[in-house]
Amino acid sequence: MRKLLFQRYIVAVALLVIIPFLLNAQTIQNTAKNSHINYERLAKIDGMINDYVNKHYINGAVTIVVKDNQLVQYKGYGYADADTKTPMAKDEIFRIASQTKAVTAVGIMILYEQGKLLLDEPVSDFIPEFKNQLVLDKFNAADTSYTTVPAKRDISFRDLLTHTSGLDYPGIGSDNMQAIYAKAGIAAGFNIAANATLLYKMKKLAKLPLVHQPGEKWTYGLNFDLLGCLIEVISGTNLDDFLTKNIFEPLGMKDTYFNLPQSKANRLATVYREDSLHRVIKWEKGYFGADPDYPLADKKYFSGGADLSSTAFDYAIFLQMLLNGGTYNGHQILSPRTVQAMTSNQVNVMFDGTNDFGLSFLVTSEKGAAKGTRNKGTFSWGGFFGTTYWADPKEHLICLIMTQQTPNSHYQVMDKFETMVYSSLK
Amino acid sequence: MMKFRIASIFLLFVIPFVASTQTIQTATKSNAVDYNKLAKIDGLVNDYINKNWLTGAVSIVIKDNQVVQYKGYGYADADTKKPMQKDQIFRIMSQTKAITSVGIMILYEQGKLLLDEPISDFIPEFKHPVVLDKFNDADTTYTTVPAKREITFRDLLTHTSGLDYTDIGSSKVQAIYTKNHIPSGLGYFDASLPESMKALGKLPLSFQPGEKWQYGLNSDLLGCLIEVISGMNLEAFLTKNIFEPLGMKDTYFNLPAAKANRLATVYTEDDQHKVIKWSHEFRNIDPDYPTMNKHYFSGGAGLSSTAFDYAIFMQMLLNGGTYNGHQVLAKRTIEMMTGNQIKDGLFGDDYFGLGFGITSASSAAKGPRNEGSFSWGGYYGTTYWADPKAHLVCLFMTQQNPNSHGDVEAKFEALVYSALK
Repeated sequence: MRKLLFQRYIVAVALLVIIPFLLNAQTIQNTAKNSHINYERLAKIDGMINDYVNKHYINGAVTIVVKDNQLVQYKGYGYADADTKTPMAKDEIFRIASQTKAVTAVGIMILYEQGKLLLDEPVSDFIPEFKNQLVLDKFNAADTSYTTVPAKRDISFRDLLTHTSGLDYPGIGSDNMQAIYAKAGIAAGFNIAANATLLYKMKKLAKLPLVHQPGEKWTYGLNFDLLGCLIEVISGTNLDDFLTKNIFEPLGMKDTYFNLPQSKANRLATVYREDSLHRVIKWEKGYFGADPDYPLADKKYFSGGADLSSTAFDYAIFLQMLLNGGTYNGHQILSPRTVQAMTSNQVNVMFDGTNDFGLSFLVTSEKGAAKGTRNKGTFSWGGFFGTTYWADPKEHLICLIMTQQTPNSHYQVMDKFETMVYSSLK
Repeated sequence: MMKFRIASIFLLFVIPFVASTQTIQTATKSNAVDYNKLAKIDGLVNDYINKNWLTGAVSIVIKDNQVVQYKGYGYADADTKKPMQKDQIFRIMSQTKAITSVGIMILYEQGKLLLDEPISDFIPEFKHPVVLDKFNDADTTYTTVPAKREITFRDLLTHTSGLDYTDIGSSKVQAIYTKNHIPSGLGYFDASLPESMKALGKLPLSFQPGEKWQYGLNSDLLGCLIEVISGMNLEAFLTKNIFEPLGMKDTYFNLPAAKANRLATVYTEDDQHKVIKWSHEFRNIDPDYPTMNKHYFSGGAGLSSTAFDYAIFMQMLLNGGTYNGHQVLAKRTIEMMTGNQIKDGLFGDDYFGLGFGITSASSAAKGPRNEGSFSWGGYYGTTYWADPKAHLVCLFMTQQNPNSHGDVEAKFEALVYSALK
C-alpha cells in the first residue's frame, strides 16, 4: 500500500514537472523566472540604452530577450515620437523592412513542403519571363546603355533564397543596376507606386540584366520580392492573405501586417534619420523616395522583401517557431528538417568572408563565433529602419532590438545590447 | 520520513558539488592523480637547486578544483638562506596582462566598450595613427605612412596593434619609444599613465594594425583605458572587481610593508651563467619596485602575487567566469577569451586569444598540453597554463632572468601530465 502510494506520488511529481515543460516548449512563457539568467546583469541594459536616448543618439528602442521559451526581458525605452513625447511602448509597431524576408522564406518553404516547388527548380517554371535571362557585361554611365551576355543557367528558388541569383537592389544596390532599375521603374518595397502590380513589375524585372551569373556571387537584391510574387503565382492567393493564413494566424502573431489597420495606427513608431551633422531628425515624406506612412497606405503591392510591420513580441514568436523546429502554439508550420536546411550554410560563394548564409538568414560560422558572442549556428538578419534580430539555437535564445532610425551613427547600441545579453547567461 | 530522507540524500550530493566547483579545495585527494609520480617533481627541482642553476621555485598543480601539489623549493633569498615558502610573493610581470584583459572584458560586458571599437573613442590622441616607414639608425629620425585603420580593443588584447615594447621590444620603434620616454611598465616609473599613453598615441606603429603579432605595450594601454572608462585607477578597479570578490589576498601593485618580507629576491646570471643577485640599477629595473609606492600602474607588468592567488584567477576562468560565489565574467566571454582571435600563422603554430597564448591542435600533438590550453608567463621567470580538457591549473614560479636552465619548466610540465591517470 505504502509502495503504491509512493508510485502515485512519483507519477504526480513527474506530471507536474513534465506538463509545464511540454507547454513551455510550444509557446513563449512570461511568468516563470529562468534560472540560467543573471537578472541583475540583464537589468544593466536599461542604463546603457537610456544613456543613448539621453544623449539624443536614438529617440527610442524596444528590446526583447527570450531564453528557453521564457520571456526574460521585454521593454520600451525613450520615445515612439519625440515631438509629442509619446513613450515607446514595448508592443510598439515597427516597420520591419528586410525582416520581412525570413517570413517570405518560410512562406516559400511551406509550398516546398507541399511539393509545389523544388529548391533547385528554375523560377521560370512559374514565371516564364525568367527564361533565358541576360547578365550585364559593359555599362555606359553617360547614357545608361549597356551590353549583356547570356546567363549560363536560369535562376532557381535556392538562388533567390540565398541572394545569389544576380538580382540587385534599387535604391541601395550597385550604381549601375540602380540606374537600370530606375529607368525601368523598378523600386524596392516600401516606395512602390500605388498603381503597380507585383507580377507586372517582376515580369519587367525578368527582362533586365542580372548583375552576375546565377550562383556565382552574393548580392543583396530583390530576390524576396520575386519570391513573394512566386508565392502569389503558385498559391493563387495574394501574399498578404497567404502569410496571414499560413503563418500569422496559426502562430498568434496578432500585430503583423502589410496593411496596418487604422485602429492600430497610433501604435506605429515615428521614423527618424540623421541630418548632415548626425543629429536625429524626423524622416520627412519623400526622403529617400519613401513615405514613412506606407504601412497605412492600403497597398495591393506586397513586397516580400520589405513591406511588413510588426512588434518585437510577434517577431520573437516567429523565431521561436523556428527554434522549436517549426512548431509553435500547437501548430506545425514547417518540419524540423526544413528548419535545419534554412539555418544551415547553403552557399559556396563568399558571403562576408567569415559567416555562412542559409535560406534568407546569415548563419554564424565557427570563425564568426570565435570573434563574437553569438554561438555557431545562430541565424540572424535585420531591417533597413534600424531593427535587428538573432536566434541562437545552442543557447535557445531569441533577441531583438528595434529602432526606427536610419542611418544611425550610434548603431553600436545594438552590439552592446548583444554583449550584455550574453554576459547575463549563467 | 521518506521525504526527509530523499531530501537529505539530495543535499548530500548537491552541496559538496556546488561548493567544490566554486573554490579550490585543499583537504581532499584527487583520484585522477598518481601522487607517487607527482612526488618526482621534488627530485627534479631540488636537482636544479643543488647544481646552483636555480635559487628557488614554487610550483602548484590544481586538478578538478583540488590542490594536488603546492610547494616551495630552495631559497627565497640565497644570502640569508631563507627557505622559499609556498606562499612566497613573486613579481609576476607579464602575468599581469591576463588580469588587465579580464578587467577590460568586465567593462565590455557592461556595454562600456566593443571589441572592434577604435580606442580613439576614449583616448583621442590615438586618432589617425601612422606606421613607421623609413628609420635612420644614425639619428633616429624616421618617416611614416598613414595607418589603414585605427587600432581597436581587439588589436590590443591580441598584440596585433603594431605597438612595440620599450627596452624589451623587437622593432625600430623601440628606439623611438626610448627617445620619447615611454615607460616599459617593468619597474618603478615617476610618470603619469594617461600622459605617457597620450604620448604613445602620437608615435608610429611598427606595422599596419592587425597584420602581425608583436609583443608590446598593448596591456599598459588597456590598463589606461580601464582608468579612462571606469573613472577609477587601475589598482582600485582590479582590486574591487577581481581580487576582492575572488579572495586573491596577496595580489598587489603596491605590496603593503607588512608583507614585504614575503617578497622573493630577484636573480640574474653573470657572463659565466652563474646566478647572481639583480642589482638596483641592472637594466633600469629596481627590483624593490613592488614596495616603492608606485602610482604608475602598468597593466602589462605591474602586479606581484602568489602561486595560489594566480591559481584562483585561472580557476575562475576554467569555471566559466565564476569562483567563490562571484560571477566575474559570463561563460561566453571566457569562450571568446580562450578561443582563437587572430589570423592563422601570426603566432607561430599556436593561436592567440584575448590575453593568452592558446595551444593549437598541431602543438598539442607535440607536447603534453591539450588543445585549448591557455597560458602565458612573466619576465622574471614565472609561467602558468590552464588546460580546460584536463581541468588543470599549473604554475611554476622563479625570480630569475635570464635562466640558462629554463628547461626546468618544461620538465615540470612533463612530470605533471605523467601523473594524470
